[in-house]
Amino acid sequence: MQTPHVFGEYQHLYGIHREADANPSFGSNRSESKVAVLMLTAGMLSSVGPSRLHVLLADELSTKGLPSFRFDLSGIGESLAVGSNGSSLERASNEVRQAMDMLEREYGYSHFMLFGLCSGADDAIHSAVNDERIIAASLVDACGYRTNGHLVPFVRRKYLPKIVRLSKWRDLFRGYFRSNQSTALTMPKGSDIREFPNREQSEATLLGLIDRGMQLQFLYTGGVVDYYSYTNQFFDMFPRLKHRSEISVIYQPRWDHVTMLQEDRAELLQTLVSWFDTTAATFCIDTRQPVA
Amino acid sequence: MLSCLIAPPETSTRVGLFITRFEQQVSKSGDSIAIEFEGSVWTYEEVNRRANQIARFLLDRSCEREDRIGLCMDRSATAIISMLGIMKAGCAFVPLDPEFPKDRLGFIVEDASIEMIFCDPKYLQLFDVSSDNAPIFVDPHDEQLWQSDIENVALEIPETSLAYVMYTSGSTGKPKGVQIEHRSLTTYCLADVEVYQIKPTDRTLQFSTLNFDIAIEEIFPPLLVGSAVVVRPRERSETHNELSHLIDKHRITALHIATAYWHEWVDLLVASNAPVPPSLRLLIATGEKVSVEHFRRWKRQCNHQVLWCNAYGPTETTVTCTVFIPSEAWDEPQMPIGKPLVGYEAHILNDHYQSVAIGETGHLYISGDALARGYLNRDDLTEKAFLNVTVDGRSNRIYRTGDLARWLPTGDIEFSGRVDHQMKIGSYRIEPGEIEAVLSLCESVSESLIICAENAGQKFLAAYVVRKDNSLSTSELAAFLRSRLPIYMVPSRFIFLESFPKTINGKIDRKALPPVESGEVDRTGAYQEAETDSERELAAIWSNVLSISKIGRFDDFFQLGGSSLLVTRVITQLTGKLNIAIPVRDFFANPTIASLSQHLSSLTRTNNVSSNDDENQRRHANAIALRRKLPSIQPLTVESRSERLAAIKYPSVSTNGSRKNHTIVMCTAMGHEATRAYRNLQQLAIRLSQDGFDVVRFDYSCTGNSTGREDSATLEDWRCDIAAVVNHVRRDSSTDTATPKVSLLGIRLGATLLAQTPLQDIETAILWDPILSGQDYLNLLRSMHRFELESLTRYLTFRKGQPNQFMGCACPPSMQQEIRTIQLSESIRINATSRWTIETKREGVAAKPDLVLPTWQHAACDDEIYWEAKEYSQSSFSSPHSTRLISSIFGKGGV
Repeated sequence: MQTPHVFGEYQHLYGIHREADANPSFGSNRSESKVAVLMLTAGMLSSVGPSRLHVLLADELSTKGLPSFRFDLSGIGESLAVGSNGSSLERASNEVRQAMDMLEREYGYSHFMLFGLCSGADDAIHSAVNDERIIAASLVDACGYRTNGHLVPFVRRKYLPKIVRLSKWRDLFRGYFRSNQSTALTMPKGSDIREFPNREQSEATLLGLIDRGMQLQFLYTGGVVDYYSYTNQFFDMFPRLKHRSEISVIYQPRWDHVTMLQEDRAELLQTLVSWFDTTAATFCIDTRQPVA
Repeated sequence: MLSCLIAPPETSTRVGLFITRFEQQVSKSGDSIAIEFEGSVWTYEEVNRRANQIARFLLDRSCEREDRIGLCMDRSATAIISMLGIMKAGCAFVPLDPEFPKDRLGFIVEDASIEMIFCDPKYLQLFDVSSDNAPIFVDPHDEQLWQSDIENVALEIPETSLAYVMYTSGSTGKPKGVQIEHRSLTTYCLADVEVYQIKPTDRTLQFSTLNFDIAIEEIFPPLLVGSAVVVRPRERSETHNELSHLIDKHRITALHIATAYWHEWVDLLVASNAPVPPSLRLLIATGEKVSVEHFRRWKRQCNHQVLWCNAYGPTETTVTCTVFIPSEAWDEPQMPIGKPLVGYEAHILNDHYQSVAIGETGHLYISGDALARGYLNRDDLTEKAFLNVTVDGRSNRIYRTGDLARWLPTGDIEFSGRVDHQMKIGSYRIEPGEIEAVLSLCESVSESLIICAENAGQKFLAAYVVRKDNSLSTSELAAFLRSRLPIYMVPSRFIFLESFPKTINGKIDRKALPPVESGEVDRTGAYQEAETDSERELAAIWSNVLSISKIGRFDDFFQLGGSSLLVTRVITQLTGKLNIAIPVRDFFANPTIASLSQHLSSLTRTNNVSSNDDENQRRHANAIALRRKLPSIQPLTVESRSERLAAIKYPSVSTNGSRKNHTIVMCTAMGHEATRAYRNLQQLAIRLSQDGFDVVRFDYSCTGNSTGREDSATLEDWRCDIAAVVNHVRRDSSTDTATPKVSLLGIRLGATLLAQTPLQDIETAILWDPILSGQDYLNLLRSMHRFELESLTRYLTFRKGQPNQFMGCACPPSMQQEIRTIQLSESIRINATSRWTIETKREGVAAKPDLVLPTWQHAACDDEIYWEAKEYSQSSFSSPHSTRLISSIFGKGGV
């Protein structure tokens, strides 16, 4: 059962609440534990998520007894742009707070686990810093920084397959000769600006979150090879996070940034559901009983 | 030169009446097939008898010579018989295109003093039937028509009597009725038969709508030689190449075709490597300049002898006045328009009405018995266009075509362009004079000038206006024009002047006009000036990027014509001038000067608490002001079969009290195209809600936020979903006193699906870049999907991917089969009062819905959405021109 909501300071935000199934596949009804999964806007895509990822995730979580809420940040999807304060991270964080306030009021959820992809991952981290109701986050293609070990796998993964393809050389030449042509009126890919703090700030932020008891899952795909190119890069980026049990990292170079292929999406969903399920269980055990 | 104006010359040789010659042919070919339509045939004898019955029907009702009788009918045998019957009664027929806006039809009925209309019952709603002076409407299928005597009508009709009136658009602001006399019709038909060698064995396809002069060419000359006219059936063929199919199926030998359509057909033949149908022996291309490259391709596809002709002729010369028939060896860079037909003369003259030398460019004039009598009720225009002059020592009545031309040494004429300032925007030729004439009807306008301008590669119309009343606003002026002109003719910028700068000769000095950037746009709310330095700086940047002088605090960037590209230009200027870099999504969240300025100042603010408080109060006030301009968001759940559809309603904001009891349902695209269209449709929905409409958007079952498994989706289910949403809207909006109006807008596959849904009583249906051929669409999806998997752009290695998915969207085999069978032109089931297709620019793609759906009104625009470009498979797009068009179409009630 899903219920749409219009909320926010100016009744300008739109989102959909997905109840947990009454008969979860196993265990107690998690919705009573007052934990919900909150899915944040991925880039400029609506609350449906890339290729309906958020809807599918909500359905899967529901079968595990986990309720969820997916919503559009202002100016994206159905949410209206009314003008707002601060950087885009601050605005997103503010709107995540408004969503959590509404959910707490309407459904009594006291704690939230976030899911964020691309800019949604950045927003999730920033939101978690500002709001202790957030107890866990699973982040796809979150912030990243090139390390000494990045270059070789980067070249191997990104350029080697192209070098051996004749068609790529042809494209290169065509691109060169076309470069003086008039610009298209549609935004080219990847023109948006992600807002990564510097590496030290990110490390400190993440450390603060796990010290607070937050659980974090990082998934990196082949779509961000420009800044993430090998399995252990995360801990080379953030050496102080090494050996911390609150953090798990998965590198899946076969996937693209938004898991366009159904089979990749199914794998991602399985990974996410499993992690949220386990994390929720940990939370319920830790708190012994549902938070009122 | 006034000195060469002389009295009209004596009428030349008698050619007789067309109908007399037709009756003579009936006596020779009585049993031959005259008309074939949808499997039925009418012999010459039958056609003549029925035409006689119509003539008597008219005479019995006291119709008199030259009475104008309207014809508002689809192509059919009855339509042709009605034309003949009307002429036999000495009356003149006036084709009334059911696709014309109501206002235009109303004007024609009044202008032509039409007192009787032969009207298909389904088109009655296009006329004001209840008014006291409404014409008499005759149902052509009424048995009463066919009760009269079948013998020929013995009526004395002079050759100079009127045969028909054909309305064309003109620079007058109103359509003008070209009056064609019997003599002209006969002269033309005889010339046509001679030049095209029409034979009794010919079978000519009647393809054109009746209000084009091509229809005259298709219908009447064949009936003078005993050959058959085959009327294009209403049912459309399922084949990809419908025209070839029609020709093959009906053994067509003669085809008259608009040049643009011929180009398309040649491309189709080449693409499918199909030969020109073997039955065809005559092809006449007319209406536009012929591409020589297409002619070469045609020859390559043609395995047999076909008489190919390039015809030229304005309606004022009845139909065709010159024809070029290339020899087998002809191969030149430009296709001439040929030599005059028998009974016509062509003159290429200088400004003093003297013939120019061979090779020299001059004004093209036509003379001869086939010239029109003139324009109905417009003596002024007739005097300007039809001149009685002495040319080379010979007195002549000549028609000024408005075209420039030159004689070639071969004796052929080569077209060199238009004399006037005709413009081309999108695929439309626009007479600026027509817009200026309409502006002059506005009481508050004293003088105006229309020009074509360009910004960021997009052409648009701008109007320079001198007002009598300075309170006249841009919005009022735009609304005035929208109610009187086709949408594509409404300027998007207005520049108000105290007076026009003039040259020494008293003409408008165009070079001295202020730039169009100083103009205003038609905005949805009142203009509010920028208040702070920051707002003024931003307004200056927007003004520079959008080329609009006045930007209001609450003007929405995208509704002012901003595109995604222009967003990046604003951001670049912000970085350069203010040293602030913002993500694009910040811009989308702050689309007005007021909100963006507030946002930027919050990024750079100090820790001054009181300043922050002020800032917050100000932000809050701005946000409230902006929110008031936006609609509320009302989530809906619509039950469709066993699924629950997620829908959003944007109720009318009614900022100017123009709330309408009219809901627009939006049908989105499929898969990645739906993702691309998402933001665009939402912006459009907001715009329409501000125009006073309620707007409902929804997700089909198994997509978006609606329930259902993706792999179980079918197109039939989606059509049911559209019907379910429309029914929901009707139930939801019904009141005791009013029935809600419902219109539909669909984009891409959504457009196709809505057209295929059997819905009744729809006000307006707009198909935006519809999928015309399912096979082509599947090919496109496959090719884009393969590109994503193999181009090493999205993935680091080659991916194969499981079958039955395209671009992130499941597409089970059953759905692929449904898509494959789509031929939109053959599967339209929606019943809408007003039907439009909107086409964006399609580089290298022959979409052309206007050719495939000829009974739909068509609007082309300059937006580039790149549906076919692989590199934009995930990108959102902006379509300011389409948005304005759609808003205008709905704003005018679909007409």
